[in-house]
Amino acid sequence: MYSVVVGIGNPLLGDDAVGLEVVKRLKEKNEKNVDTKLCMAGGLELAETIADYDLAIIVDAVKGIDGVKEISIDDYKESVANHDISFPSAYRILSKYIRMPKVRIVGIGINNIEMKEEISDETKEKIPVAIKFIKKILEEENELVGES
Amino acid sequence: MKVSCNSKICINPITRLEGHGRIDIILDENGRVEKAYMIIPELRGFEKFCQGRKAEDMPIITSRICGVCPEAHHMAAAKALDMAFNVEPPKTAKLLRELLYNAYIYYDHCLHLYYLGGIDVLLGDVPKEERNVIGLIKKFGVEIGKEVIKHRRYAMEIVKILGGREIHPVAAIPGGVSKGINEEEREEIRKKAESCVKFALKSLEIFKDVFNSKRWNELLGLDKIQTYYMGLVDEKNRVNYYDGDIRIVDPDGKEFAKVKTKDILNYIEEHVEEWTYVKFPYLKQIGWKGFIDGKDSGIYRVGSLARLNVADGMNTKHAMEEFKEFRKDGIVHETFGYYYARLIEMLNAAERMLDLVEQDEIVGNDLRNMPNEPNEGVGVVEAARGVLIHHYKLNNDGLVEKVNLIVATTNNNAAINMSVANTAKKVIDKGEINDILLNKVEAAFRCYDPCLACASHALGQMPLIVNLYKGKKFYRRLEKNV
Repeated sequence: MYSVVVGIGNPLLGDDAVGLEVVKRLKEKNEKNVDTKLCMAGGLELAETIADYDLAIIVDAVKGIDGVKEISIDDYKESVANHDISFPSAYRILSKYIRMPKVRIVGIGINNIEMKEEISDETKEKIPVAIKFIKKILEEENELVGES
Repeated sequence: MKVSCNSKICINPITRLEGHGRIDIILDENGRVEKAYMIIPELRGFEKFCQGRKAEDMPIITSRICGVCPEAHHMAAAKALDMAFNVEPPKTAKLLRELLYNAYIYYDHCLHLYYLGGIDVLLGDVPKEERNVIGLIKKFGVEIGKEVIKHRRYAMEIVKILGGREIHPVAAIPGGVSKGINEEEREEIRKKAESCVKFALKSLEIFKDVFNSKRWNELLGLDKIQTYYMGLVDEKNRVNYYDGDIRIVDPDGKEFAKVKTKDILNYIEEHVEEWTYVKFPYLKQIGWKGFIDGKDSGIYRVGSLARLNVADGMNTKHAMEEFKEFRKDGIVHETFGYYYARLIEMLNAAERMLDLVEQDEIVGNDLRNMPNEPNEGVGVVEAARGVLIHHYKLNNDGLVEKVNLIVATTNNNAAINMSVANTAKKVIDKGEINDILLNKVEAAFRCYDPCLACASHALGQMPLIVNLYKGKKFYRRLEKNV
């Protein structure tokens, strides 16, 4: 199974970049059959990025949740700035034409988005938790298709 | 300006657009529209964030203002630095930059025509659940949807080949570009550009079915404002998105000014209103006379409609033929004319890609001239949605001292407010409002393909909340995407 883990965020917006940081660190671990990508926008761009994979794990900063949690596609409401159409809409549209992967979304709770290039210490603590969470999802999905 | 009202309708924020905005419609005692305003409530302070940074980082940093048109900010920044460092890029670098830029114009227009505002033209007053690409597929078939995806993708892949990255390119640097292309990449671009030309012609066919219908006349009748227009033109006064002089024409189409980009800020002043962070640029020599059109009002428009109004022609064959048709009766003031102009530009961008990729120097190795001492620079490009100005002052160490960005949506701010007010007055009567009517008001706004994230440098989500007030009392709330 070919999977992609996509980090979403803007590196100029403080904690909003935590999804990018998680995926950068995951990339260093060289997971087998797992690509990593970074995206600054959701919506159509994100949907196009994950096309043709078997599984896509999207990692994004989300306001209004605590810790690290999985969220459904329909609840994935544009936590990053600058979108065209929403990701749920884009996913549904592209699904009509091209092979779209199973999607699982990992939300990392943050409090504020402000213009700076550093992630707060509070949010940094969630990075290893998120990586563990992603690995667990990959294991689950591999088991489902009989790979290990 | 303080807004006091008896009754107020808020469209907050507007859907199918970038960023975060709201429309307030003020009703009189009889429920007729008195005034309407577009309000953008947040400020991000991007200019301040850039102060003290290394000048050469600006093309990367500014491209992250917005996920919609990073190429425009990237290129405006690079051009501002060319001027600030007093360096002229070699011919190959200029060709590569322009090629990348036309690919951006193509995919951006494709997005707006088929996913965003174009839906208003192609589908009309359909129920809201069909007012999207799914509705488009239902009406025009699955094949057209596939073509849209394929050609948007082609143009983005061309950007990736030239820019180093698909979104947020990194190739343009002061004095040139950091990477060239080889023969194999050139051939790939050529094939994709050829296909893009065919799809642009097909797109014109599809939209022209609507342009020949009664409904198109209704749409054109929603808003017509006689403003000045501003856009980049080449030495023959043809549309150019990447480079040239700025031409301004008056509402009769007569040239008001043709200026070097470095001098454009001498022509623009910015008016401020209390109810929005976004300023209202106007022509300094004419002056701010309020939200009114005509020769005595300094309000101007930018974007596809403006570009085709300031130009004497297009620099490619088929687009030129369409241009003649578009301008057969002179200047086009109808706001929905933005769509026809956008289609012509989509064709022009594809044809121009082909022209550029055919040039021998496109595969040259002379990619950069070295910068000189840092100073001050103005970079101007045509973002898909209009004139984008980056103005930097650098210190002796090459660090950014001052940044001023005037983005396309800001240039159109006054006109957008007028279009929203005009349309609201036409479609809302006796305070009666429903989803279809609200969508018409939004549609007037969407003609400009505005990017509110750029204009306000704001963050936000895009639910739609409609609050109705009568006699200052809240009595109804409509929601979508909340």
